[in-house]
Amino acid sequence: MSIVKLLEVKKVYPLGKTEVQALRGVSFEIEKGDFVSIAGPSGSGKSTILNMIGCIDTATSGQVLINGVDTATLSDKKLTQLRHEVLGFIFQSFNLIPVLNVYENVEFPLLLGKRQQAKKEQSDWINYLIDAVGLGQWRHHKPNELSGGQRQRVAIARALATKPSIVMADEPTANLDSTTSQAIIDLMKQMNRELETTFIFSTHDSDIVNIADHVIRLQDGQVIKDYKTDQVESEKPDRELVSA
Amino acid sequence: MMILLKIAFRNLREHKIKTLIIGSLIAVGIAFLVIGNSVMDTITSGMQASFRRNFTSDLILRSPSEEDVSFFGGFGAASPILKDYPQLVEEIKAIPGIESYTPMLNGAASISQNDESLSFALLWGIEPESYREMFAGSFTLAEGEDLQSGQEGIVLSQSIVDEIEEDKGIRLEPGDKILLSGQNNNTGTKIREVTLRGIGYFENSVGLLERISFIDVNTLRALNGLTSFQAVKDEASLETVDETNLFGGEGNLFEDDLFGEAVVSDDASVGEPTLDFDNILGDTSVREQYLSLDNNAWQFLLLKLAPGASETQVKAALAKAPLSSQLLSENWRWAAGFIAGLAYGIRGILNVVIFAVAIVAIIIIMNTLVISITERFAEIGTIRAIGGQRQFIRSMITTEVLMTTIVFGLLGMLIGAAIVGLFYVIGVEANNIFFQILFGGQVLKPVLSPGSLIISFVTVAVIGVISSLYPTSVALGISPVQAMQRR
Repeated sequence: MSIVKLLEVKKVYPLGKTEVQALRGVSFEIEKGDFVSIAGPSGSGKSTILNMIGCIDTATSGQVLINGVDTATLSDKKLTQLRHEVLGFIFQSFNLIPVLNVYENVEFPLLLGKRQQAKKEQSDWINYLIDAVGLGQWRHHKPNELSGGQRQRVAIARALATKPSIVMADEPTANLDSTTSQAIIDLMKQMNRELETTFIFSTHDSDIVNIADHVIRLQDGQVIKDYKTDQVESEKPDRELVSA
Repeated sequence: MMILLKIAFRNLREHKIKTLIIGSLIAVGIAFLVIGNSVMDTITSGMQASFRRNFTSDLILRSPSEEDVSFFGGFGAASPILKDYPQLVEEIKAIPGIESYTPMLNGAASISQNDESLSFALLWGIEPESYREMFAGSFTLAEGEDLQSGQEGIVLSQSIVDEIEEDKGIRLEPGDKILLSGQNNNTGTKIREVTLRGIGYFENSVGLLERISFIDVNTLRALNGLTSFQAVKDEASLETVDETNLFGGEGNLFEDDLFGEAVVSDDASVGEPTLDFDNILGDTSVREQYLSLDNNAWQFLLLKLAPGASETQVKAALAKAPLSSQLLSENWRWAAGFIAGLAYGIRGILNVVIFAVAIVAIIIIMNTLVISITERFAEIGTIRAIGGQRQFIRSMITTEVLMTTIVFGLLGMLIGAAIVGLFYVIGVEANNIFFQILFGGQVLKPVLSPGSLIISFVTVAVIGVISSLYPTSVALGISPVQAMQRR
């Protein structure tokens, strides 16, 4: 069963007296453990799709299924619970809690849930994540004492803290230089392999797109390509663009 | 919970200026609240203790009156006398919780000597032994001697004597004779010569209270026109007998008409007293009987409760007893009248001002918080996105507000307590009669009252909770999508 499944998802935003069609009937599936890149130019609908999968926005029509559950049927409380237990988020602007240090930022999602691990076990896990993202020396520093790359590493560790099945990253490298961007994507890939966590990230950087093993290309709110990178070039399907 | 406190504390520290502005406002407001309420508590509790100790004891029984009557006496309406006083006393003795009682009569008279008007006094007619037992130590005798039972005389207030000496150059001494002129609705103006037995004063009394002087009760009854006839007349009026018929058509028994048409029969009864002109002129015994003073005429019965007795329970028992149930049982606040009203009025004004300040504080805190929250859209949206329930956001905002209000509220309470302590040490001087009346003396030494601290704490908590309502609703309205969209 697909961990994420979108069926004919449409999203229409009101803009004054007119409407903007952000998604025009998007359908695709993501398997557990995929390292997925949602690629496309600005305004193609990347962020909208991530918002749908991340259960922080709802579709105008169509279905978004996470682990087979139609998210449209869930209450706000259940959706929040789902985000906490199943999803992790990495933001373009890092969005760390400014008054908390690295350790506390990573620990933070664990404190939002009802289930509490044993203190030692929790502490070991947080330290493992911090070391894994290479910030062992920075655990007591505040976000404003870190570089952009370091902050994004903290965000990755935070996204993984609750051991989610899926980590969403909305243009995680947009605010980083190319070297750091590469390092961040490599780190995400490493975590994907080590923890078997499904990563879904949006980007318009073609170099980064190619690191993904599952690429979903968007244009004008429609999927124009959806393929696994291990497929030979000739097998990569081109989707027929259908007017919404 | 720890994470909420941690985030709240660090956010407040991070925005020091904002926190200090809000905090200072709260601290100053609460300090004023503590000072104001402590001063008013000291005034009212001091007033209560002083009135109970010196003037009113615990309860005052009086007859109902349609007019405003004063406990302290004066030239205004007099309180009606107590009906069936001897039986009332027997009834009171049987009520549990009452330790002692003493009756009282009040009035006022101008003082003159050798045809020279000197001053005026508020007069209290008392039963010396029982009064002194109930109010032991409240009145200090400076010169002369106390009144004795059955002895004619007056113990004048020291301030009246001093005033006469200052204004008229006459120093009254114990043993002097003075003339008292009283007016009453029953017999008109009455003049009595009395012997000045002593001179004394109540501790810390000011204003009219300084004019209270003790007089033998019979002289005061005469000045007040409290004769046996008056008792009969009162009785009759209570039974709604037409006064015009009662007195033969016109006039007052004690006026010229007495010797006109009215007739008094030997068996003058309450229902149909008639006056026989010839008999009155021939045999004056009935007239003398009517004109004799009513030895049971008292206006008030002061009750001292036994230690530990409940005022409410005693009042309930009084309300069930046949005679006292027809009376009003008052306490010091009624007696203090205007003065207590003034103190409670000032307290009311103080609380209105505090309420207004609290509203302003709430608006300022609320606006500052809303600005703070709009600056933290991404942070709050992120928390929602990564799994923070609405309750967490609500708790986060409330914790920040409560932390600010409680920390600075406590600081304000400490500052207020310190200032109250300072005032206690140096004393607040009353530099005019208004404050002297209010303070019950020349200097007020305010004491920190638990009530003021409780009120302050509750106020702080209420300000905190109310201030956080709107900002919380703004924060709860933030969608996680906004966290994704904010760059």
